[in-house]
Amino acid sequence: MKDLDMTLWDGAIEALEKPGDGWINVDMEDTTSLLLDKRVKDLYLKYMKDLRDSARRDEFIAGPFTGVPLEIFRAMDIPAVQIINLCCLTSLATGNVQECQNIAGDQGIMFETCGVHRVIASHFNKGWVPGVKAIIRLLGACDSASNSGGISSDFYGIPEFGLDFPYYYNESSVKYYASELENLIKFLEDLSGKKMNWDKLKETVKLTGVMRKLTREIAELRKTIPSPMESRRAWQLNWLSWVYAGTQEGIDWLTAVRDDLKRRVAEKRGVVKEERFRLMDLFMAPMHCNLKILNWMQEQGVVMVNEALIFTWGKEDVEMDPSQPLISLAHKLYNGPLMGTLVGPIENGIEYIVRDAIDYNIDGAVFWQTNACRQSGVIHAWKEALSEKVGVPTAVIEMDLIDTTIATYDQIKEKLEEFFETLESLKGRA
Amino acid sequence: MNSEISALKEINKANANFPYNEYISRWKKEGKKVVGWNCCSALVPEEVIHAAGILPIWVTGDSKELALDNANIYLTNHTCSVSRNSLEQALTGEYDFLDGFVSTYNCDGTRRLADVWGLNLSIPVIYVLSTPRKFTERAKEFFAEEIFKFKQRLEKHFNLEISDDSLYKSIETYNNTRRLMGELYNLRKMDKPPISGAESWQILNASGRMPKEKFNRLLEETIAEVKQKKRNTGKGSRLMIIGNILNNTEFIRNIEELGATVVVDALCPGIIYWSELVKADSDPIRSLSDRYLSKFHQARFIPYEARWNEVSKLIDEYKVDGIIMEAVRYCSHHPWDMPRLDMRLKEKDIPVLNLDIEYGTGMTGQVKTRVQAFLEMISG
Repeated sequence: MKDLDMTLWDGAIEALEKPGDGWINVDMEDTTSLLLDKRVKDLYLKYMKDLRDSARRDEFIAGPFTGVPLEIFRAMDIPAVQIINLCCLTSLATGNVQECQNIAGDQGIMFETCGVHRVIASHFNKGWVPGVKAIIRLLGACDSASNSGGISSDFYGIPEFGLDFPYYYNESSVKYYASELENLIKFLEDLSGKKMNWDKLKETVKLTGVMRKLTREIAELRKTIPSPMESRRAWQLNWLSWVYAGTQEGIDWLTAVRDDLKRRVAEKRGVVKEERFRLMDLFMAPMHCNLKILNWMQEQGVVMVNEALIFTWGKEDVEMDPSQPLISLAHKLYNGPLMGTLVGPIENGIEYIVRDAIDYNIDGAVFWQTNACRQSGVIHAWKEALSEKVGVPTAVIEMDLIDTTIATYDQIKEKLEEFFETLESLKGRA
Repeated sequence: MNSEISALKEINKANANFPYNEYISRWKKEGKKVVGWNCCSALVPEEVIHAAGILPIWVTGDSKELALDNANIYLTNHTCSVSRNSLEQALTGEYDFLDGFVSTYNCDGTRRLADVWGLNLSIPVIYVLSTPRKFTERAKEFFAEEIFKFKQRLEKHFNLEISDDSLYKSIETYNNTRRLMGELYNLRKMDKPPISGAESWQILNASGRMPKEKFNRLLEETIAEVKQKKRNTGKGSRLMIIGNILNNTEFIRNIEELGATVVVDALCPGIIYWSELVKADSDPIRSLSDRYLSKFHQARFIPYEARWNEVSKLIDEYKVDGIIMEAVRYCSHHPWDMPRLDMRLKEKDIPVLNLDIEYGTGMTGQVKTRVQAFLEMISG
């Protein structure tokens, strides 16, 4: 176990408290829904400060990786650092991403591994994730997310738990994954000394169900032309849905977003004055510029109206059943956004993307090709499906989520401008 | 100078004219089916295919670096060159003799290869097995269900029935291969190993490219011949290779020509492929599941300490002086496995060389220089 090092977290909290114009840290004066941004920032700061306090009190803190349901920890009253989010955010806020890449390299982690996960590994190597006493990682869907968890547990000398996650979404897989969640609970009980509060878990799952319904409503409202929602809002929603899963705070924020969209739709008021293009986001926009690229796109009249990893759902919604909390959480993972498009045979993802491209009336799509991301193996098939079945082009933007040495903010802007010109000429032809 | 092994010449016919070698050609001429499988952790239970009277063969890339012009269209270069090399072979018609293709959820690269294969090639993907990353009782139970579904898909696709009897017979044939492989590897434990790493690798490659019955006979002859000829291939340091699937025999030959002996491995098609027998009991499907999840564990499995203990045991059993770890660029698991093992090997005081390579490479100048320096370092 590494010594407690709060430097990075203190630095990140301090940076976030200053005005900004990105994704979490938004203080743009011309933003009509500034209050929603402000609430996200407050929620993020609260989350970080609470965790920091828990670390100072030497509480048992868990370190779940992408895809691990935080409802479990909440119901057990175990503070949980959502690793990918916090490591990236603290590095971005304090400006030490390149240092992290070098640290990872010094530890023998190759450049051909995902930049985000190199950052995570470097944080654990240096002891920059305060108080984490166990790693929990999802085995599958993204091998990097799983593997960076393994090496992180080595660096900290702490136990790890792997949640095995089968390939197909069917009854057998759901039962298997639910049994894995049961094992996780036992693992946490043994390590932390805390017991699962099953009533609280049921309540949490119930609240998660409310959050999912609100997200669905938001998704429906986004189909409106002109688009009523800022592009960055989707990523705020994504983050919040993980970290504040199954909480009243989560519900309150989503309700406020939903109501804001309803109002805009009723007033026929779009988020940009003149909507030039409606785009679909096929992966994750670069975080190294704090997703400012999305704000810049809006200034060009270009709005992201759907994100394959946030708003592309499976075939049907599955009601959260609080009486079967673990089964419900398994369905949430398989059927909900993120894993819904990435796990299982590629045909599933293609079907959902094509369906949404039509429903959301898109003019084109952007695939943010993250350096070294193994998931980019889907690019050709997704691009071809959108071209053949929907008749829209896809720009593949080579970049890294966090490392600017692959593509800078300006280089990304330049590539997008070229794409907008293509879209303009296609519009002209039509 | 060691004398040649005559049975090895026969075995090597499986490695010539890759992938459509004379054994496969003969099989097809008899009007019989061939199904290709692909999984870097060797988790496809071939016995099920074999029990259907179909020849299972391992779909790999060629034993050389290819330009990958066709594969790069469908899979980005952020996908490992193992998958892209295999895809290149398929897209250029080299695997057109296959009657079907089977894959697994081994890693991101493997599953994307199966996706692209299904969308762009006429050879049908019969099934992608959902392979657990744990080896608990529950995982084995789950995988048994998956193997059963795979069996059903195969039966439906080829309109046949796979009986328990035929499964038991296939299990016995494959177990025989594993026993013989164990015997072959035992020879490499000797202070004067009578068979080199490169020769062993020719045998390992062939094991996935020809009918097992014929292979077993030839392997038996090879072992007998090697014992009788009293060869000694040992020279310099005793090395172990760990990492990604490796099919290019030249890679190992080049290491040995620099003055070392590769005595053992933790990779495919080595230990990962043949270790552990199927303990056939009343349910052959469950027995297969047990074996495939209990054999030597690749980097994808958890708990990780099981893998480390298995590696550590081999180091001791084979009296290993040094380790070469190789990871194919953009592999999902091994670039993370290397630093994890590295930490543990340092504690065990075992010298390690980490190589970042492209699949199929024989050994380029820079890699050769690094290996040479490593060998000099460990020989003191």
